[in-house]
Amino acid sequence: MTYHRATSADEAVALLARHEGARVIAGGTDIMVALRRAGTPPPVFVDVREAADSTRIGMGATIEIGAAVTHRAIERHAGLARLPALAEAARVVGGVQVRNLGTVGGNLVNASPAADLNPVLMTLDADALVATAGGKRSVPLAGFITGRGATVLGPHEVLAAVRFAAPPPGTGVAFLKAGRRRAMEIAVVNVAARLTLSNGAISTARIAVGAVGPVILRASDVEEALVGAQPDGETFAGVAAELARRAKPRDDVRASAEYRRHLVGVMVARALTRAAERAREDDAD
Amino acid sequence: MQIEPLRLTINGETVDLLARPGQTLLSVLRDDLEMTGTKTNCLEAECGVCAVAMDGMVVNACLLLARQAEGHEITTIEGLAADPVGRALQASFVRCGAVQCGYCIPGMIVAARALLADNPDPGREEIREGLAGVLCRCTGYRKIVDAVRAAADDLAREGAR
Repeated sequence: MTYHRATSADEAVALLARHEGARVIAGGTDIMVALRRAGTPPPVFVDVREAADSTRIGMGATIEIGAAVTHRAIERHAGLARLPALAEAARVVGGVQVRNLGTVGGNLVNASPAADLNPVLMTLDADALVATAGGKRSVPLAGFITGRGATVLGPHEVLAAVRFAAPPPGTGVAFLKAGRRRAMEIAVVNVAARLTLSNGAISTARIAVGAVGPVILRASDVEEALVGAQPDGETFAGVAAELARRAKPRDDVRASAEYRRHLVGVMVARALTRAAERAREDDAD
Repeated sequence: MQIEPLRLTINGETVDLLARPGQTLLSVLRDDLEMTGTKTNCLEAECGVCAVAMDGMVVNACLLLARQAEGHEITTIEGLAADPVGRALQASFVRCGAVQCGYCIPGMIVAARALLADNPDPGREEIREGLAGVLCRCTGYRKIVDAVRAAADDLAREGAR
Protein backbone atom coordinates (compact mmCIF):
# COMPACT_ATOMS: atom_id res chain seq x y z
CA MET A 1 0.00 0.00 0.00
CA THR A 2 1.25 3.45 -0.84
CA TYR A 3 -0.88 5.33 1.67
CA HIS A 4 -1.13 4.82 5.41
CA ARG A 5 -3.31 6.80 7.77
CA ALA A 6 -1.67 7.19 11.18
CA THR A 7 -3.94 7.38 14.23
CA SER A 8 -1.22 8.99 16.35
CA ALA A 9 2.14 10.71 16.00
CA ASP A 10 3.83 7.63 17.49
CA GLU A 11 2.21 5.40 14.89
CA ALA A 12 3.43 7.77 12.19
CA VAL A 13 6.98 7.38 13.52
CA ALA A 14 6.66 3.58 13.30
CA LEU A 15 5.28 3.81 9.76
CA LEU A 16 8.15 6.04 8.66
CA ALA A 17 10.65 3.52 10.02
CA ARG A 18 8.90 0.66 8.24
CA HIS A 19 8.62 2.39 4.84
CA GLU A 20 11.95 3.90 3.81
CA GLY A 21 11.48 7.10 1.86
CA ALA A 22 7.90 7.61 3.04
CA ARG A 23 6.73 11.19 3.42
CA VAL A 24 4.47 12.66 6.05
CA ILE A 25 1.37 14.42 4.72
CA ALA A 26 -1.23 16.36 6.65
CA GLY A 27 -3.15 19.02 4.72
CA GLY A 28 -0.86 18.57 1.73
CA THR A 29 -0.80 22.27 0.95
CA ASP A 30 2.99 22.44 0.82
CA ILE A 31 4.09 18.89 0.05
CA MET A 32 1.68 18.25 -2.81
CA VAL A 33 2.80 21.44 -4.56
CA ALA A 34 6.46 20.57 -4.03
CA LEU A 35 6.00 17.01 -5.33
CA ARG A 36 4.17 18.21 -8.41
CA ARG A 37 6.89 20.75 -9.19
CA ALA A 38 9.62 18.17 -8.65
CA GLY A 39 7.83 15.82 -11.03
CA THR A 40 8.97 12.77 -9.08
CA PRO A 41 6.82 9.66 -8.69
CA PRO A 42 4.61 9.85 -5.60
CA PRO A 43 6.20 8.53 -2.40
CA VAL A 44 4.54 6.31 0.15
CA PHE A 45 2.42 8.71 2.18
CA VAL A 46 1.99 8.61 5.95
CA ASP A 47 -1.09 10.72 6.61
CA VAL A 48 -1.21 12.41 10.01
CA ARG A 49 -4.10 14.74 9.20
CA GLU A 50 -6.48 12.79 11.44
CA ALA A 51 -4.02 11.52 14.06
CA ALA A 52 -6.09 11.93 17.22
CA ASP A 53 -3.49 13.44 19.52
CA SER A 54 -2.35 15.83 16.83
CA THR A 55 -5.69 17.49 16.14
CA ARG A 56 -6.43 18.78 19.62
CA ILE A 57 -5.89 22.15 21.22
CA GLY A 58 -5.28 21.71 24.94
CA MET A 59 -5.86 24.74 27.14
CA GLY A 60 -4.48 25.21 30.64
CA ALA A 61 -1.29 26.43 32.28
CA THR A 62 0.41 24.98 29.21
CA ILE A 63 -1.30 25.44 25.87
CA GLU A 64 -0.69 22.59 23.48
CA ILE A 65 -1.62 22.84 19.82
CA GLY A 66 -1.51 19.51 18.00
CA ALA A 67 0.61 19.51 14.86
CA ALA A 68 -2.37 18.60 12.69
CA VAL A 69 -4.52 21.47 13.93
CA THR A 70 -5.57 23.49 10.89
CA HIS A 71 -5.18 27.23 10.50
CA ARG A 72 -8.97 27.42 10.32
CA ALA A 73 -9.30 25.71 13.70
CA ILE A 74 -6.88 28.19 15.26
CA GLU A 75 -8.80 31.07 13.69
CA ARG A 76 -12.02 29.90 15.29
CA HIS A 77 -10.89 28.55 18.66
CA ALA A 78 -12.64 30.48 21.41
CA GLY A 79 -10.12 29.48 24.07
CA LEU A 80 -7.30 31.26 22.24
CA ALA A 81 -9.18 34.57 22.23
CA ARG A 82 -6.82 36.00 24.86
CA LEU A 83 -4.07 35.75 22.25
CA PRO A 84 -5.77 37.33 19.23
CA ALA A 85 -2.46 37.46 17.37
CA LEU A 86 -2.67 33.70 16.85
CA ALA A 87 -6.04 33.93 15.12
CA GLU A 88 -4.91 37.03 13.23
CA ALA A 89 -1.86 35.19 11.88
CA ALA A 90 -3.83 32.04 11.08
CA ARG A 91 -6.47 34.06 9.27
CA VAL A 92 -4.13 35.69 6.76
CA VAL A 93 -2.73 32.41 5.50
CA GLY A 94 -3.97 31.59 2.00
CA GLY A 95 -7.70 31.47 1.53
CA VAL A 96 -10.37 29.44 3.28
CA GLN A 97 -9.62 26.27 1.28
CA VAL A 98 -5.94 26.34 2.26
CA ARG A 99 -6.75 27.12 5.89
CA ASN A 100 -9.19 24.22 6.09
CA LEU A 101 -6.39 21.79 5.24
CA GLY A 102 -3.07 23.48 6.06
CA THR A 103 -1.79 22.68 9.54
CA VAL A 104 0.27 24.41 12.20
CA GLY A 105 2.77 21.55 12.12
CA GLY A 106 3.06 21.45 8.36
CA ASN A 107 3.65 25.18 8.29
CA LEU A 108 6.35 24.91 10.96
CA VAL A 109 8.14 21.97 9.32
CA ASN A 110 7.96 23.64 5.91
CA ALA A 111 10.00 26.40 7.57
CA SER A 112 9.42 29.19 5.12
CA PRO A 113 10.96 32.38 6.48
CA ALA A 114 7.68 34.09 5.56
CA ALA A 115 5.47 31.70 7.55
CA ASP A 116 2.80 33.62 9.43
CA LEU A 117 2.10 31.58 12.55
CA ASN A 118 5.73 30.82 13.36
CA PRO A 119 6.76 34.35 14.44
CA VAL A 120 3.75 34.53 16.78
CA LEU A 121 4.59 31.15 18.31
CA MET A 122 8.19 32.24 18.79
CA THR A 123 7.17 35.32 20.76
CA LEU A 124 5.29 32.96 23.07
CA ASP A 125 8.52 30.98 23.67
CA ALA A 126 6.90 27.89 22.20
CA ASP A 127 8.53 24.49 22.02
CA ALA A 128 8.14 21.88 19.30
CA LEU A 129 7.16 18.48 20.67
CA VAL A 130 8.75 15.85 18.44
CA ALA A 131 7.74 12.19 18.38
CA THR A 132 10.65 9.78 17.93
CA ALA A 133 11.11 6.02 18.17
CA GLY A 134 12.48 6.52 21.68
CA GLY A 135 9.70 8.78 22.94
CA LYS A 136 8.99 12.49 22.71
CA ARG A 137 11.56 15.29 22.79
CA SER A 138 11.03 19.01 23.16
CA VAL A 139 12.90 21.60 21.06
CA PRO A 140 12.53 25.38 21.48
CA LEU A 141 11.04 26.79 18.31
CA ALA A 142 13.94 29.16 17.75
CA GLY A 143 16.28 26.17 17.53
CA PHE A 144 13.84 23.99 15.58
CA ILE A 145 14.18 25.92 12.32
CA THR A 146 17.76 25.97 11.05
CA GLY A 147 17.44 27.57 7.64
CA ARG A 148 15.14 28.19 4.71
CA GLY A 149 13.03 25.05 4.54
CA ALA A 150 15.22 23.25 7.08
CA THR A 151 14.48 21.95 10.57
CA VAL A 152 16.13 19.65 13.08
CA LEU A 153 13.49 17.00 12.44
CA GLY A 154 15.20 13.65 11.83
CA PRO A 155 14.14 11.23 9.06
CA HIS A 156 12.00 9.06 11.33
CA GLU A 157 10.65 11.84 13.50
CA VAL A 158 7.25 13.48 13.38
CA LEU A 159 6.19 16.78 14.87
CA ALA A 160 3.46 16.02 17.40
CA ALA A 161 2.55 19.41 18.82
CA VAL A 162 3.58 22.95 19.60
CA ARG A 163 3.48 23.95 23.27
CA PHE A 164 3.82 27.15 25.24
CA ALA A 165 3.11 28.31 28.76
CA ALA A 166 -0.03 30.43 28.99
CA PRO A 167 1.43 33.92 29.30
CA PRO A 168 1.09 35.79 32.62
CA PRO A 169 -1.48 38.56 33.11
CA GLY A 170 -0.47 41.84 31.56
CA THR A 171 0.63 40.22 28.29
CA GLY A 172 -0.22 41.44 24.81
CA VAL A 173 0.77 39.87 21.49
CA ALA A 174 0.42 41.60 18.12
CA PHE A 175 0.91 40.38 14.57
CA LEU A 176 1.18 42.39 11.37
CA LYS A 177 1.63 41.19 7.81
CA ALA A 178 2.48 43.26 4.76
CA GLY A 179 1.60 42.01 1.32
CA ARG A 180 0.23 43.23 -1.97
CA ARG A 181 -3.24 41.88 -1.18
CA ARG A 182 -5.12 40.67 1.85
CA ALA A 183 -5.40 36.99 1.02
CA MET A 184 -3.58 34.30 -0.95
CA GLU A 185 -0.33 36.15 -0.42
CA ILE A 186 3.05 35.23 1.02
CA ALA A 187 4.24 37.91 3.45
CA VAL A 188 6.49 40.62 2.09
CA VAL A 189 7.36 41.23 5.75
CA ASN A 190 5.59 40.02 8.86
CA VAL A 191 6.16 40.94 12.50
CA ALA A 192 5.07 39.42 15.78
CA ALA A 193 5.63 41.31 19.03
CA ARG A 194 4.88 40.26 22.58
CA LEU A 195 5.10 42.43 25.70
CA THR A 196 4.41 41.59 29.31
CA LEU A 197 4.08 44.68 31.48
CA SER A 198 4.58 44.91 35.19
CA ASN A 199 3.76 48.15 37.04
CA GLY A 200 3.65 49.88 33.68
CA ALA A 201 7.17 48.85 32.61
CA ILE A 202 8.23 46.04 30.29
CA SER A 203 9.04 42.80 32.09
CA THR A 204 9.21 40.54 29.00
CA ALA A 205 9.69 41.48 25.36
CA ARG A 206 9.82 39.24 22.31
CA ILE A 207 10.00 40.36 18.69
CA ALA A 208 10.11 38.11 15.62
CA VAL A 209 10.37 39.38 12.04
CA GLY A 210 9.70 37.15 9.05
CA ALA A 211 10.62 37.27 5.37
CA VAL A 212 13.80 39.28 5.90
CA GLY A 213 16.35 36.48 5.92
CA PRO A 214 16.66 32.69 5.73
CA VAL A 215 15.20 32.29 9.21
CA ILE A 216 12.87 34.42 11.31
CA LEU A 217 14.80 37.37 12.71
CA ARG A 218 15.18 37.52 16.46
CA ALA A 219 17.32 39.83 18.63
CA SER A 220 17.57 38.43 22.15
CA ASP A 221 19.96 41.17 23.24
CA VAL A 222 17.43 43.82 22.21
CA GLU A 223 14.69 41.87 23.98
CA GLU A 224 16.79 41.68 27.17
CA ALA A 225 17.62 45.37 27.01
CA LEU A 226 13.91 46.19 26.99
CA VAL A 227 13.37 44.72 30.46
CA GLY A 228 12.51 47.60 32.79
CA ALA A 229 12.02 50.05 29.91
CA GLN A 230 8.93 52.17 29.40
CA PRO A 231 6.60 50.91 26.66
CA ASP A 232 6.51 54.23 24.81
CA GLY A 233 6.97 55.49 21.27
CA GLU A 234 10.58 56.51 21.76
CA THR A 235 11.57 53.08 23.06
CA PHE A 236 9.75 51.33 20.25
CA ALA A 237 11.25 53.57 17.57
CA GLY A 238 14.73 52.66 18.76
CA VAL A 239 13.98 48.93 18.72
CA ALA A 240 12.41 49.15 15.27
CA ALA A 241 15.41 50.99 13.84
CA GLU A 242 17.79 48.40 15.29
CA LEU A 243 15.84 45.49 13.85
CA ALA A 244 15.64 47.20 10.48
CA ARG A 245 19.39 47.50 10.60
CA ARG A 246 19.83 43.77 11.37
CA ALA A 247 17.36 42.51 8.78
CA LYS A 248 18.88 40.86 5.69
CA PRO A 249 16.06 41.11 3.17
CA ARG A 250 16.36 40.19 -0.49
CA ASP A 251 15.04 41.74 -3.66
CA ASP A 252 12.43 39.41 -5.13
CA VAL A 253 9.29 39.46 -7.25
CA ARG A 254 7.18 40.75 -4.38
CA ALA A 255 9.29 43.64 -3.11
CA SER A 256 12.73 45.20 -3.02
CA ALA A 257 15.13 44.67 -0.14
CA GLU A 258 15.07 48.42 0.49
CA TYR A 259 11.28 48.47 0.84
CA ARG A 260 11.34 45.46 3.13
CA ARG A 261 13.90 47.13 5.36
CA HIS A 262 11.68 50.20 5.50
CA LEU A 263 8.70 48.03 6.40
CA VAL A 264 10.58 46.44 9.29
CA GLY A 265 11.14 49.88 10.81
CA VAL A 266 7.47 50.79 10.50
CA MET A 267 5.91 47.47 11.44
CA VAL A 268 8.05 46.62 14.46
CA ALA A 269 7.13 49.95 16.06
CA ARG A 270 3.46 49.47 15.19
CA ALA A 271 3.38 45.89 16.48
CA LEU A 272 5.05 46.87 19.76
CA THR A 273 2.54 49.71 20.22
CA ARG A 274 -0.36 47.33 19.68
CA ALA A 275 1.19 44.71 21.96
CA ALA A 276 1.53 47.32 24.70
CA GLU A 277 -2.15 48.32 24.29
CA ARG A 278 -3.21 44.70 24.55
CA ALA A 279 -0.94 44.13 27.55
CA ARG A 280 -2.61 47.01 29.38
CA GLU A 281 -6.07 45.62 28.52
CA ASP A 282 -4.99 42.15 29.63
CA ASP A 283 -3.92 43.53 32.98
CA ALA A 284 -7.17 45.38 33.42
CA ASP A 285 -9.25 42.19 32.99
CA MET B 1 1.20 0.36 -12.36
CA GLN B 2 -0.10 -0.17 -8.89
CA ILE B 3 -3.75 0.62 -8.28
CA GLU B 4 -5.59 0.38 -5.01
CA PRO B 5 -9.30 0.14 -4.15
CA LEU B 6 -10.91 3.31 -2.87
CA ARG B 7 -14.38 4.02 -1.52
CA LEU B 8 -15.65 7.59 -1.61
CA THR B 9 -18.91 9.25 -0.65
CA ILE B 10 -19.70 11.88 -3.26
CA ASN B 11 -22.90 13.91 -3.22
CA GLY B 12 -24.47 11.36 -0.92
CA GLU B 13 -23.60 8.33 -3.05
CA THR B 14 -21.03 5.64 -2.32
CA VAL B 15 -18.56 5.18 -5.14
CA ASP B 16 -16.08 2.30 -5.32
CA LEU B 17 -13.21 2.68 -7.68
CA LEU B 18 -9.52 1.98 -8.19
CA ALA B 19 -7.04 4.81 -7.64
CA ARG B 20 -3.42 5.27 -8.62
CA PRO B 21 -0.84 5.99 -5.92
CA GLY B 22 -0.71 9.73 -5.28
CA GLN B 23 -3.88 10.36 -7.30
CA THR B 24 -5.67 13.52 -6.25
CA LEU B 25 -9.37 13.83 -5.58
CA LEU B 26 -9.59 16.25 -8.51
CA SER B 27 -8.19 13.64 -10.87
CA VAL B 28 -10.59 10.98 -9.57
CA LEU B 29 -13.55 13.32 -10.03
CA ARG B 30 -12.71 14.48 -13.53
CA ASP B 31 -10.75 11.61 -15.07
CA ASP B 32 -12.34 8.54 -13.48
CA LEU B 33 -15.85 9.70 -12.63
CA GLU B 34 -16.23 12.21 -15.49
CA MET B 35 -17.63 14.73 -13.03
CA THR B 36 -16.23 17.72 -14.86
CA GLY B 37 -18.21 20.36 -12.97
CA THR B 38 -15.17 20.73 -10.72
CA LYS B 39 -12.57 22.51 -12.82
CA THR B 40 -8.82 22.05 -13.27
CA ASN B 41 -6.35 24.90 -13.64
CA CYS B 42 -3.30 25.77 -11.53
CA LEU B 43 -3.06 22.47 -9.61
CA GLU B 44 -1.34 24.40 -6.82
CA ALA B 45 -4.27 25.62 -4.69
CA GLU B 46 -3.81 29.19 -5.91
CA CYS B 47 -6.90 29.63 -8.08
CA GLY B 48 -9.68 27.70 -6.33
CA VAL B 49 -11.56 26.49 -9.43
CA CYS B 50 -11.21 22.95 -8.08
CA ALA B 51 -13.00 23.75 -4.82
CA VAL B 52 -15.21 21.02 -3.38
CA ALA B 53 -16.69 20.61 0.09
CA MET B 54 -15.41 17.95 2.46
CA ASP B 55 -17.72 17.50 5.45
CA GLY B 56 -19.07 20.95 4.61
CA MET B 57 -15.64 22.62 4.58
CA VAL B 58 -14.43 24.05 1.31
CA VAL B 59 -11.09 22.57 0.17
CA ASN B 60 -9.06 22.43 -3.04
CA ALA B 61 -9.43 19.01 -4.66
CA CYS B 62 -6.17 19.46 -6.58
CA LEU B 63 -4.08 19.00 -3.45
CA LEU B 64 -6.14 16.41 -1.61
CA LEU B 65 -5.10 12.81 -2.11
CA ALA B 66 -8.17 10.83 -3.11
CA ARG B 67 -7.33 8.44 -0.25
CA GLN B 68 -7.54 11.33 2.23
CA ALA B 69 -11.15 11.86 1.19
CA GLU B 70 -12.09 8.32 2.19
CA GLY B 71 -14.46 8.33 5.19
CA HIS B 72 -15.62 11.86 4.50
CA GLU B 73 -18.61 13.40 2.71
CA ILE B 74 -17.54 15.07 -0.51
CA THR B 75 -19.91 17.55 -2.14
CA THR B 76 -19.23 18.89 -5.61
CA ILE B 77 -21.03 21.50 -7.69
CA GLU B 78 -23.08 18.69 -9.22
CA GLY B 79 -24.50 17.98 -5.77
CA LEU B 80 -25.48 21.52 -4.88
CA ALA B 81 -28.75 21.48 -6.78
CA ALA B 82 -30.04 19.03 -4.18
CA ASP B 83 -29.73 21.66 -1.47
CA PRO B 84 -31.85 24.83 -1.01
CA VAL B 85 -28.81 27.01 -0.36
CA GLY B 86 -27.10 25.60 -3.45
CA ARG B 87 -30.22 26.23 -5.53
CA ALA B 88 -30.55 29.78 -4.22
CA LEU B 89 -26.93 30.47 -5.19
CA GLN B 90 -27.30 28.94 -8.65
CA ALA B 91 -30.35 31.14 -9.27
CA SER B 92 -28.86 34.34 -7.90
CA PHE B 93 -25.57 33.91 -9.80
CA VAL B 94 -27.54 33.79 -13.04
CA ARG B 95 -29.96 36.55 -12.06
CA CYS B 96 -27.21 38.94 -10.89
CA GLY B 97 -25.10 38.52 -14.01
CA ALA B 98 -22.24 37.00 -12.01
CA VAL B 99 -21.36 34.47 -14.72
CA GLN B 100 -19.17 35.44 -17.67
CA CYS B 101 -16.92 32.68 -18.98
CA GLY B 102 -18.16 30.46 -16.18
CA TYR B 103 -14.91 28.73 -15.32
CA CYS B 104 -14.62 30.00 -11.74
CA ILE B 105 -18.31 29.64 -11.00
CA PRO B 106 -18.43 26.09 -9.62
CA GLY B 107 -15.60 26.99 -7.22
CA MET B 108 -17.31 30.25 -6.30
CA ILE B 109 -20.63 28.55 -5.61
CA VAL B 110 -19.07 25.75 -3.57
CA ALA B 111 -17.16 28.33 -1.51
CA ALA B 112 -20.25 30.51 -1.18
CA ARG B 113 -22.31 27.52 -0.05
CA ALA B 114 -19.78 26.78 2.70
CA LEU B 115 -19.75 30.45 3.71
CA LEU B 116 -23.55 30.69 3.96
CA ALA B 117 -23.76 27.45 5.91
CA ASP B 118 -21.42 28.99 8.45
CA ASN B 119 -22.74 32.55 8.30
CA PRO B 120 -26.21 33.00 6.77
CA ASP B 121 -26.02 36.79 6.91
CA PRO B 122 -22.56 37.79 5.70
CA GLY B 123 -21.56 41.37 4.95
CA ARG B 124 -19.76 42.16 1.69
CA GLU B 125 -16.33 42.04 3.38
CA GLU B 126 -17.12 38.65 4.87
CA ILE B 127 -18.23 37.41 1.47
CA ARG B 128 -14.98 38.62 -0.06
CA GLU B 129 -12.99 36.88 2.65
CA GLY B 130 -14.95 33.66 2.20
CA LEU B 131 -14.38 33.69 -1.56
CA ALA B 132 -10.79 34.97 -1.42
CA GLY B 133 -9.48 31.55 -2.38
CA VAL B 134 -11.24 31.49 -5.77
CA LEU B 135 -9.96 33.74 -8.54
CA CYS B 136 -12.02 35.25 -11.36
CA ARG B 137 -10.44 36.87 -14.40
CA CYS B 138 -13.65 38.10 -16.00
CA THR B 139 -16.01 39.81 -13.61
CA GLY B 140 -14.05 41.96 -11.19
CA TYR B 141 -15.98 40.10 -8.45
CA ARG B 142 -18.64 42.73 -7.77
CA LYS B 143 -21.54 40.79 -9.25
CA ILE B 144 -20.32 37.60 -7.64
CA VAL B 145 -20.47 39.31 -4.24
CA ASP B 146 -23.89 40.74 -5.19
CA ALA B 147 -25.09 37.23 -6.05
CA VAL B 148 -23.98 35.74 -2.72
CA ARG B 149 -25.65 38.59 -0.83
CA ALA B 150 -28.80 38.18 -2.95
CA ALA B 151 -28.91 34.45 -2.20
CA ALA B 152 -28.60 35.20 1.50
CA ASP B 153 -31.53 37.64 1.20
CA ASP B 154 -33.62 35.13 -0.80
CA LEU B 155 -33.02 32.41 1.78
CA ALA B 156 -33.87 34.75 4.65
CA ARG B 157 -37.13 35.72 2.95
CA GLU B 158 -38.00 32.07 2.33
CA GLY B 159 -37.17 31.18 5.90
CA ALA B 160 -39.36 33.98 7.19
CA ARG B 161 -42.44 32.60 5.43
